Amino acid sequence: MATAFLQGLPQDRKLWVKLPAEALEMLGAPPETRMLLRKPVYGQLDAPRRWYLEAVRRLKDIGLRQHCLDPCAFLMYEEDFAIGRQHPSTSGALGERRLCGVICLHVDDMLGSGNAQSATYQQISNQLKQEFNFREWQEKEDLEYCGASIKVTTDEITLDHQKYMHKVKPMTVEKGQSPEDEMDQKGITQLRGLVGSLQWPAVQSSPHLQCSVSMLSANVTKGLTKSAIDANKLLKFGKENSDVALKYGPIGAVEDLRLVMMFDASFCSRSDGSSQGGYILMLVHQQALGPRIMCGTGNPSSCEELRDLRWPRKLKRQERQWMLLRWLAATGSI
Amino acid sequence: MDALEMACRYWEHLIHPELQLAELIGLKSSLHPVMVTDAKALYDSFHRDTINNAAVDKRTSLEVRVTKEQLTALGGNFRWVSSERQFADGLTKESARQLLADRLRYGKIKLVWDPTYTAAKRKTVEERNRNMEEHAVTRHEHEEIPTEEINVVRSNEVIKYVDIAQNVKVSENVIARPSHVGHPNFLDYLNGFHNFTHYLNGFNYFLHYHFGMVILLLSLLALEWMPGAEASLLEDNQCPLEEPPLEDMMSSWEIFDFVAIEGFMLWNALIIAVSYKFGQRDDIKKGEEAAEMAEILHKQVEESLQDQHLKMQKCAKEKHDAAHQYMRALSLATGEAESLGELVLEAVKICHRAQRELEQLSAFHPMYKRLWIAKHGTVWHQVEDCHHLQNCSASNVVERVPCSTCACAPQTPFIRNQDGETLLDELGSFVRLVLERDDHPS
Repeated sequence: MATAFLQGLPQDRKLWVKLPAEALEMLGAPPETRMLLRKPVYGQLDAPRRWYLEAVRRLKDIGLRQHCLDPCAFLMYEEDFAIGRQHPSTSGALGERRLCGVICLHVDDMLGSGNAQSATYQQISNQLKQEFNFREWQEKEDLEYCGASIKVTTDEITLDHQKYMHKVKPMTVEKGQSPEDEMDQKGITQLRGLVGSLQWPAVQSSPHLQCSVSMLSANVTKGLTKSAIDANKLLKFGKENSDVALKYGPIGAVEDLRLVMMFDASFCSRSDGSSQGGYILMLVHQQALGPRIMCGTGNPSSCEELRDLRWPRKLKRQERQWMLLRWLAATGSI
Repeated sequence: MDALEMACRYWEHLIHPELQLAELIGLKSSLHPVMVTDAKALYDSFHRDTINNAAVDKRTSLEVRVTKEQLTALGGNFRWVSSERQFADGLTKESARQLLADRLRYGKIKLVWDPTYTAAKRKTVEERNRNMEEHAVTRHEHEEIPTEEINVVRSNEVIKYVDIAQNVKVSENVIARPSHVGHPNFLDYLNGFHNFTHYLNGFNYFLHYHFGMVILLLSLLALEWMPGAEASLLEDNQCPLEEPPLEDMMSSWEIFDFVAIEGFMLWNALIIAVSYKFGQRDDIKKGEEAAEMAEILHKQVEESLQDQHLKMQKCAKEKHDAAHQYMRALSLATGEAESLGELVLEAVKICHRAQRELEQLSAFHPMYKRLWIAKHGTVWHQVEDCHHLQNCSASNVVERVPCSTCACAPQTPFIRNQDGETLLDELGSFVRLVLERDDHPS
C-alpha cells in the first residue's frame, strides 16, 4: 500500500508540528512556521490504529465480512453479492454461502487469495484496486509477503523463508572465549537480534526451529557466550534446512478433511528447569488417520482392553468381511 | 486443547459466517478433530470412564476429564501413537528437530493403527528407525540428481561397453552406432540394408556370368544372322528386284544352325530366368533368416538394456539409502559427540573445583602447621594464641611439628598411588590435558 497512514482516518485531535528546516526551505515557508496535521503520519503512535480502522471500514463497505476470531482476515462470500447470487460458482467455493476469497491485512501489506473462476472474486479484486492506493499489485506464482516466499503451483502452495534465512548473518564469537564467559552489552544486543531473526521464520513457516528458539530465548538475558554459540549453531541448522516449507496441497473434498493435533511435552528440559511443550496442527484427509477402532463399541479404556479386542459376535459374517475389506483399504493393503 | 478448539471454531466461522461466536461454540466441528499423544498413561486416563483413584495427582485427573469433555463437545477423538511416530517430538526436544524438518520436507503423514499397542521402547532400533523415516526425507534425498549425472549414467557408451559387450554378441555395425541404440527400428533398418546388399551381390555375380554368355551369343549371332539378309553380288544382267535363286536361300544346315543358336539362346535365357528366380528366393530366405537373427539380437539388446537400467536404478537407490543412513548416523554421532563434549566440560569444571579445594585443604593441613602442646595436657593446639594455652605458663608449652610419616601418608592430599602421584597431581594433569586438547583440537 502506498502511503498507508495517509489513507487512514483523519486526526481526531489538533496536532501542530514543526517541520525540518530543509522542508520549510522547500516549501518557501518562514522558519517559525508550524503546520497542522490533518492525517496521521509515520511515527505517530495512533497512526497504525487509524489506518486499520479506515481499512476495515472500506473493506466492509465493499461487502467483505470480518472474521470474528481474526480481525485482520476478511472473507468474501458469493451470497453477499448480487453478482455472486446471479453467477454462483459451481466449484471451489466453501460452505452454503460459498466462500470464494479471503484477504488478510498485515499493517499495510495485503494478501488475498480466492477462486479465480468466481465472478464475485474478480469483481471484488477490481473494486479493491479502486478503493485503495496500491503501490504494487502482484498477481504471480512466486511472491514475497512479510519475508516469506509464497509459491503457487498447480499442485500446491508452499510457504518458506529460504531467501530470508540466507540473509541472516551469524554473530561473532571471539576465539578463546569460554562458553561460561559473560558477554558485554553489545554482544547481548547482537544475540537478541539474532534470536529475533530466527524467531520470525520459526513461527511463520519453520516449526523445526521453534523448540531451539524457545529455549534460546530464555537464555538471552543470562548473556553467556554459550547462548551465542548455540544461536550460531541454530542458524546453521536453519540455513541447512531452509528448503523445508509448509505445504498446502489439494487434500480432498471438504467433508473429508480432518484436523489432527499432535502434542508433546518434555519435563524439565529447559535450562531453568521448566518444561517445554509443543503442538502441531495439520489439516489432513480422513484416510490419513487410518482405520478407526474396529470394535465398534467405543474406544478401549485401557491398554489391556485394546489388546483383548475381538470382533463383536453379533456381527454377521458378511459384515465382518466388509469391515475387514474397509480396514485393508484404509491401511493401504489393497 | 484450546489451540485445537480455536482452529476448529475458526474453520466453522468460515463455513457459517452468519452465526455468532456463542452459537458456534455450541456446535460440533465438521473437521472431527483428532488429538494425538504418545503417552500411554494419558491415553488410558482419557478413555477410562472413571477418575483414576490410583493417580497421585488429582489435578491431572481433573484436567484430563475437562479435556475429554471439551473434545467430546467438538466431536473429536483421542489417539495414541508410538513415540517414534510422534511429530511433536521435534517441538520439545532439540535432538528431534532434524527429524521434524525431514518430515516437514516429506509433507505427508499417515497415522498407522498399531493393534499390538507397542511402545517405542519395546521396539528394536531398526524398527524404530524404520518408523521414524517412514514419512521423512532428508535434504540429500530431496536434492535432485543433476541432469549431467543422469546422462552419464544412462549414456550409450556405458551400456555399450559394460552391458552389450559382455552379454550379447553384437556386430560391429551395432556398436559403431551407439547413438541409435534404443531406437526400435535401428536394427531392422540395419538388417534390411544388409539383406539388400547381399541380394545385390548375388545378383551381380549372376548378371556378370550370364552377361558374358549373352555377349558371346550375340557375337556368334552377328556372324550368322541373318541368312536371309546375306548379301550377294548381282549378275550384270540381273534385275535387283528379281528373287534370288533358291540355292541362295537358307540351306537346311543353316536352318539347323539358326534353330540351334536360337535354342541355345533360349536355353540360356531360361537358365538365367531360373537362376535369377532361385537366387532371389535364396536371397529372400537368407534375408528373412538374417531379419529373424536381427530381431532376436534386438530383443536381447533391449532386454539387456532394461536389465542394466534396472540394475543402475537399484544401485542408485542403494547408494541413496546408504548415503541417507550414513548422514543420519553422522548426525546422531555428532549429536552424541556434542553431548559427550558437554559432559566432559562439566567433568572438567568439577575437577577444577576439586583441585582448588584440595589445594586449599592442603594449605590448612596439619602437615604444614606447627603444634603446641601443654606438657600435661591431653590435646594439641593449632594456634599459638589459643586461650587454653594462656592458662599454662610459657615453659610448660612445647612446640611440635607433625610426623611426616603418619601425618601425611594416610591422609587425602598426600596419598600417593603406585605411580607416586597424589590426587591433586592427577586432577591437575587431567584438567591441563583437557584444556590443551580443547585449545588445539585435532
